[in-house]
Amino acid sequence: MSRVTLLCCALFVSTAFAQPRSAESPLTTNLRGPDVVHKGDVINVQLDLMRSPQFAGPLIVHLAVPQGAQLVVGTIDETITDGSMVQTRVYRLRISEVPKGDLIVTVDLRSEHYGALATAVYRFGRPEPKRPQPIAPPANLRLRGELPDQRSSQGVPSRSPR
Amino acid sequence: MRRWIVRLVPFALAALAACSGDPTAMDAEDSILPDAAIVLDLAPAPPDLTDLAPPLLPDLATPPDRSPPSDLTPPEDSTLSPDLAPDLATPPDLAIPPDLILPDLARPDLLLPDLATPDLVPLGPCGGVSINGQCLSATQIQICATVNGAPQVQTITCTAPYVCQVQSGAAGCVPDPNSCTQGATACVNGSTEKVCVNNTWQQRACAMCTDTGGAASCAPIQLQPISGVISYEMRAINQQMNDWTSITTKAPVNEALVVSYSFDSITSTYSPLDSTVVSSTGGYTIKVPVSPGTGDIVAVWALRTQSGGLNSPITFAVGLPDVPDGTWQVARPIPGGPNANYWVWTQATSGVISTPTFTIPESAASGALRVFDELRLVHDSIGAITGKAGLPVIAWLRYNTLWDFYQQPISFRNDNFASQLFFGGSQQDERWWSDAVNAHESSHWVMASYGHPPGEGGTHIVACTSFPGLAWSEGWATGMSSLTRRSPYYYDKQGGTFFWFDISQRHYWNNAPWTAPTPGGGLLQMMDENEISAILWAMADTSNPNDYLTPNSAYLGALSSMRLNSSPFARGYTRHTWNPVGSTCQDTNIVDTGQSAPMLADFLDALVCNGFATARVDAAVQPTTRYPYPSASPLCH
Repeated sequence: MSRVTLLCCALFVSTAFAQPRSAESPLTTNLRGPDVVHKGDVINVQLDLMRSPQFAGPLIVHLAVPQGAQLVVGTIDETITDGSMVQTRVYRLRISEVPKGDLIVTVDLRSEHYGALATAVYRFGRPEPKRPQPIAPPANLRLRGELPDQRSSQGVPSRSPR
Repeated sequence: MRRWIVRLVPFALAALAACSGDPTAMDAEDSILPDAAIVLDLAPAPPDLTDLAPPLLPDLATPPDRSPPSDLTPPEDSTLSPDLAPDLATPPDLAIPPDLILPDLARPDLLLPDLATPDLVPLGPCGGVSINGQCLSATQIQICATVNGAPQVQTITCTAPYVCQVQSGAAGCVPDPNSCTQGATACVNGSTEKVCVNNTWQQRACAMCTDTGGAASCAPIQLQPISGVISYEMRAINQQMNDWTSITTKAPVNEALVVSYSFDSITSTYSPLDSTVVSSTGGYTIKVPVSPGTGDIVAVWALRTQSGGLNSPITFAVGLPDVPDGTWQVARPIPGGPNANYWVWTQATSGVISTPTFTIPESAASGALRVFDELRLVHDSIGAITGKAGLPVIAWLRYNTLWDFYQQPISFRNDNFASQLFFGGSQQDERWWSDAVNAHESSHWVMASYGHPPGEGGTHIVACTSFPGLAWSEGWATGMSSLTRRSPYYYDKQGGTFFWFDISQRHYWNNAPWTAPTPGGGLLQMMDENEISAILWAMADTSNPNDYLTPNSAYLGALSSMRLNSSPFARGYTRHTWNPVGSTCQDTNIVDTGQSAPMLADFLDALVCNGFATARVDAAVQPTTRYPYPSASPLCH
């Protein structure tokens, strides 16, 4: 089973000597399914929702099923009015063709003065795409142009402007 | 024991010196060595090494016996051909030259075991290898010697910059005619010079090259000013307030440092030619070479120096750590590696000359410029109020790297930073687009610079109440973020969840207030950090768009006052540690450290003691229904 959502949910996090960090989201989601999917499979994908106690309002859940998968058990749209902190939903999918797209669940929690939109993704075993790092600057580019080690050890005169 | 003193050609001695491993013997200046003497012990007995050096001088003072030694006969197993056989009757070159220079004999480097142990023999059955030796290769000398009395072929290696060469019939190490002295320069033609690097000449451009005093001299690089506008692609919160905008917009690279560099292809170094700070609208003028060389660049640095000049200490910067993808843990040093640098974007100078107005695209990690822009905004806003700069700070950001927070002073690239900030690099969330988060983190730096952080931190969740120290620290950061941005909205994206709230409304959900403080809870009660943000927002005169800085000025005065920087703090709060239990708003393992720490009531004391209107305080804290701060009886030092 692969964990799709990255948000840290560690139960115990030491705060000794901890430094300031930004407040964590009051709503987290996690979508889990099989690591490998084949044509003809019927699979279960589980949605886990966690929210902090103050956010007990209705959750609007929407499921986007990609081509190649059909929803057998579960609903495309659902409003969860149960104010429980932890919610679980299991979706059963028939795989007629291994989807090239992702199963995407969005969970909307919204009021006039607050909003949260959580997006969880299941990729049918494909790894999470990672964007390439931007092109790095020249490795030997230094702000003030200095490369003291090289200059002092080799004694090569640098052609500095005069 | 019979001693012979034999004249050696200078380069043979240099060869032996070159093999000694003594680097001083390898200097180019040593390539001209005087004739010298060396001891030949023709007896089969082992050489008396301790006896070698001092007796040399008396021996030289007295002319030696020049007759051939009686025991100088070829070994029985000699296979030398007749034409190679040495003339035993006349030992080669055994005469002591009158120009022998003695002081060199006292040099320790000339009396190393290499000289003493493989004693040279004037003749010997070394299979065609004579005492004069021969070049086995470009760097190897083969020479006939005796070791422990037995004739033996010895191989001596000439190390750079020496090579083997036969001169006057004898092989020796001589300076490589193709070598050069490290750093030496000479003109190749009027526009090119050559430079000796690692014993090899390399060429590079040199305007109007002239040989002066044994070295090349180049004319100064001719510079010309160019002007343009630099912008970067950015995203903001969308209208639905549930993600970043789907399309990018352009923003000026506001007050970044632009530097023009010439590139030295030989040393692979960049030399700054000119620098300037980009204007608030992205405009800049900088000098670049009239004829830029290959490799010359114009660089945009996400940093600010104290004076704006290149050589001044850095005030704030966005750093690019050399760390891998994933989470960088607390205990590990931050953030080393040879490729760590400040965030910088470069363009070929030739390209900038032709297109001086350009945009740094999102694909080039323009998000780091958004972090820089917000850090700049907070820095400049606070600096304008206080009239002094805060602690030098570096904000680390790397795409795909998350941080387990760690904050200590650091020296990086010869610049000292008293404070560090860490910005998450999740490409799923792209938090660098959140001005609210950027300003929030920067406001922690403000507290560290001008005030006294309470020392409580770690995990905290929106809407959960926190211990007073943490609530004060985080509430301050969010409140100042809003005041600096002039917006009560805080927004962030974490783990795929985008969320926002409005601190001016003091409730999250359908008119249900967030966990409000209670009058009965006292001053040291657990607090929703956003309640403190809301108090800061409410005390400011936000109805006047031009007056946002007025409360900030009072806030900063209180923050930097003795009242809020002298421990123990009058309200008596002490720092706690604890373990949060998931997102349940529950904590375990709560420990009171007993260390005094400031919190909201201390700040309000300092504010009122400095003359801030108590009516504004009361209206914000609502003492009869929410936080029971007694504005009429502040604790002043």
